[in-house]
Amino acid sequence: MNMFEMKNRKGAVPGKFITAIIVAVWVFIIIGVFLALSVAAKVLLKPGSGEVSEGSVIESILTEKINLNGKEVLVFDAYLMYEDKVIEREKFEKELEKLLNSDKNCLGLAKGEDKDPAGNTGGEASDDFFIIFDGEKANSLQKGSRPLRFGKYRKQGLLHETYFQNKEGKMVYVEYYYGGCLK
Amino acid sequence: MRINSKRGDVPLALLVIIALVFAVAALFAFASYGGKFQTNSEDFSKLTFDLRMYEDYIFKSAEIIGREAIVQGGDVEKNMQKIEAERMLRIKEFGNFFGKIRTGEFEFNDNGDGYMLNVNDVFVIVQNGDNSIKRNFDVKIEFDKDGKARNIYK
Repeated sequence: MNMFEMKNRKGAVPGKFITAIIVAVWVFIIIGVFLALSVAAKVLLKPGSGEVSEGSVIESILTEKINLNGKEVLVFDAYLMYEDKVIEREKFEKELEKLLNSDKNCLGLAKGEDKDPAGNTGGEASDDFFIIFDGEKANSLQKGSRPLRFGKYRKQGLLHETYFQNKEGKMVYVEYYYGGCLK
Repeated sequence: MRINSKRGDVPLALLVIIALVFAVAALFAFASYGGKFQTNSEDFSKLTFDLRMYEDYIFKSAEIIGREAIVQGGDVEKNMQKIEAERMLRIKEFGNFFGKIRTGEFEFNDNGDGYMLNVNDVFVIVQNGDNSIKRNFDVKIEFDKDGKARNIYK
């Protein structure tokens, strides 16, 4: 019995060692799978991957000064005037175009009675502005995929939102962007 | 020896299963919690951006109204109140600046070679859900005789 027990104990040492190695290998495999899944989850859950063009500055368009009928006006006040139909779209748009340059080559203004108005299409986007400076001139046509393109800036967390009360006392939400265009 | 080996398979298999369960649980926690800090940081960043925007709006509005009041000539303080009275207040976040102008709680003095506008204890406030930030400041702008802002003290 004593001899048998001794034999067993001798065999237990390499047996335990092999078990430990197998367990270690399993642990490493599991950690590897976990890390791989973590990285995959992080990549898949990441919202979008757009970049704003290099050297761009994101500022508030609403506090920029423009000139309307010989008077200096802030863009926010001008947008209120546009809402109240005191100024025409063309006049306002032309002044907005002057604010664009190679650093700040994208400008967006959207308003609506519901939150997050940027990216609306059709009639809902008729009072929106999305202007791009292509290096030579500003292009402010508001048609085709432009409203949807403006909406993409929200996915990147680049839009800011505020609100005002119109003449009828209704809440009007304004989303805006002023800075480099998304690549 | 064979019997011993088979007995060892059970704890080993259990160990693997438990490790897998922990890995999946950790992954689930990671996936569901990920981005919360980022969201909070983005919210705070947006609040501070809005706060800066409203403050900037007040200073630039004061500059524009002040210039107009000087260009009109006569009593610049009364001119400023009159100009402001025509404006519709549309946002509560603009705080008390425009109210102070309407009620005459400001100084707009001729200092010889220009004018000095002083509006004390102005505030702006921004709110997002349960978070809000209030900022207090004074509006001080020095104009020349033509109404051009010479110095804006921020």
